[in-house]
Amino acid sequence: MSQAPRNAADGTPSPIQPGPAIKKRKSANKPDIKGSIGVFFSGGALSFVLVAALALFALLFFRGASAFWPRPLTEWKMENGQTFLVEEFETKEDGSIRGRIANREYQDGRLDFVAEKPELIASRSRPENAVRMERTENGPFHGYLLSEGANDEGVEGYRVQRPNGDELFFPSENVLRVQYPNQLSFIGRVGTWLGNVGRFIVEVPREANTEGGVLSPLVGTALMVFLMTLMVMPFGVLAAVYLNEYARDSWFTRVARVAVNNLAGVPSIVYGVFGLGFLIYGLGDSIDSLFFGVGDGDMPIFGSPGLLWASVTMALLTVPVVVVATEEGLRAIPREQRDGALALGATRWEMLSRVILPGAKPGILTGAILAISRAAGEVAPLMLTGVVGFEPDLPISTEAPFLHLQERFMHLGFHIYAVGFQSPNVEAAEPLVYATASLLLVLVISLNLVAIRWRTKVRRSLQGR
Amino acid sequence: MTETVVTDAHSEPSSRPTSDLGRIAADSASRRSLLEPSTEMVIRSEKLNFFYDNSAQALFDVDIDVRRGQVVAFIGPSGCGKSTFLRTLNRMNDTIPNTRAEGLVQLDGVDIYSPDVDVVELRRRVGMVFQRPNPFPMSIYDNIAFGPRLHGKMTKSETDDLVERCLRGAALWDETRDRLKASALALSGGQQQRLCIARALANDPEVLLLDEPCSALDPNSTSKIEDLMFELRGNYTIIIVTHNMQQAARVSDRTAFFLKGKLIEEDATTEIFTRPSHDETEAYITGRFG
Repeated sequence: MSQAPRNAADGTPSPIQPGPAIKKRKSANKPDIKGSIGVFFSGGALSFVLVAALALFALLFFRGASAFWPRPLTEWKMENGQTFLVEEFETKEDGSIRGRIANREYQDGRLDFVAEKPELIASRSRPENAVRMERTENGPFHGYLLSEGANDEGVEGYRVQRPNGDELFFPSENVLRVQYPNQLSFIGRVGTWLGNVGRFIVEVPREANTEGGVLSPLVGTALMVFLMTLMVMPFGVLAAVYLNEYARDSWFTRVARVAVNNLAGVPSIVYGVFGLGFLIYGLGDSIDSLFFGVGDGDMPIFGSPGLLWASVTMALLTVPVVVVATEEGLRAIPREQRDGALALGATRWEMLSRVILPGAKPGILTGAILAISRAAGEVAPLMLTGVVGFEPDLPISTEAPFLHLQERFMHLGFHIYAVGFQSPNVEAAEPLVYATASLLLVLVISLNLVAIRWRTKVRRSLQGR
Repeated sequence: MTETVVTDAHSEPSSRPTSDLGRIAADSASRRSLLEPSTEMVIRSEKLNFFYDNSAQALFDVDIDVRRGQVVAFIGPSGCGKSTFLRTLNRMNDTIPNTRAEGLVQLDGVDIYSPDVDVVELRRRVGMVFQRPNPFPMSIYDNIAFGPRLHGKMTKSETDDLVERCLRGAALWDETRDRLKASALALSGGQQQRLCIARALANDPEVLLLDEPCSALDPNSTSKIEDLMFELRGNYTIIIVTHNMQQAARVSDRTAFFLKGKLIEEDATTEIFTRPSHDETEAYITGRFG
């Protein structure tokens, strides 16, 4: 409460004496070059990161989405007399046109993709009635539909003509879809595109992953992540509660904390080896011989890689992040709230279960988010513990026991690798790699968004907003 | 000793005369004289010594008797042991590792440090309110019902009644009746502290320990809490630790002065603030040190 000195006589304030000047430094008028450079580089680094991330998303989504676009079929009459109906993709740098000619079984062992120089093509046209049929075997068929109905032997099916004039008959059971891509309007194309995207998600893979959708890997990933979350959350939270609430700060807890943090840095393939060596060959074999009477040389049940062991391995891999995040959430609870609960006569457990753990919910949810994102994207340990490249049958079914924990399953992350590099028809598989990668990205991002929204909601309700 | 809460506009902390505090004490004592002073002891401590880390002694031979229904203020400079002593009365110091209490503390004639005492029951009967408001991150309703739910099952209507009674008891009902299900953290600091008092009342305690309950509050909220203490007097025995001597003079029947872990003197508040029998007490309340 400082007051201006008062004039003793009449109580009016005396005039203010001027104090030391508050002047600008001389350098203040010069341009702040160092500061500008700092802004330039830090801002530039941020933009670079943003552009890189956007480019990644854009490339994946564009390539993935264009895989489902229904392109018109072009009839190529070649100089050498051959005729093809080609789904044209692109013009290469050397001028040749790349496209899919389909009808794989008639291409003399060649794959159904061609790239030809324009000078070898005598004429190109777009016949209105060109048809594209999706079949259960040998990929798509390009040609002309002559008639529908039963053949001489009474089998329902389609009488079709190859571009070179040969007539063929496909039984209905081998044909999945018939499309006239050259008759589609733009709206029709968009509709077909949407249908193709939808089928990609709800259909199981066919023909060694080169055709069909990704339902099996999608369901496999979801089930694995779900089972992993069921296992990792109780264990991680309880471990964090012990470390933070019960254990005194001692030599042992410090070592334990460092060990848990370091576990998060162990290369994931090491977890895969552990899962295979200890869980599958150790635990799984013991379960087989104890409960199922499986001896040497019999088919193992739990003694081989499968959904259960993959989930357990993933739970082990993600437990450190849950422990660390939960501990942080627990530490954020103010001491006053603990004292408040105890002073009302709560036991230690009542304090924990009714005040501390509900208050630590945002931290626990952070742990769950991190664990789920990590598990959804991780591939290496799964390759050793239960994921295979092609297993269209879902590990979940209407037959008892409904959830088949011992079965091998597919996983989106591994599917990208399997489709891209282990497929017999690389060119047919390539667009699916982008599509699958986009789907994995969408899955992980939406899981994160849901979890983050949930956490925000919990945080808000805790803070009373 | 500088005061954080100054409600009296004329006060000048550096040279506060004893007579000023004495007048405040006498004023409030006269307003409260209608209450029949009880002679029944609720809390008694004898030769209480307290140690942190098994060696640093925080309390030395504290002897005090607290009579039922009275408001007792503990004053003294920071680190004098008044909060430590308060926390021995509901054994909150048990939660700090490596601490030890020696001597006798009795609640209604029962030694609360004897091995067969149930700490949960002790803390139900000796409620506590802390320096910083500490509502739990749940609804106002659930905050009040927290203690009773720990100690037994209650029907919905019983709980409803209890919540209303406690909020009325803490003069908070009118402000919160429409938003009982809203989070307690949305309340203002003063409301939160009154909620904490209501929460302690819900356990139906005999003794209420207030550990500097107003030090984080503005003058307006402080005066509401003081009014509340005035209301609760008689029905509850209240022990308040405070740094604000005017508050002690206003609210308490008796005042105890602590210095360096020792209870220097304990007497009627008017006596302490007008005729203290120890030089240290006089030095402290006149602001000559502390």
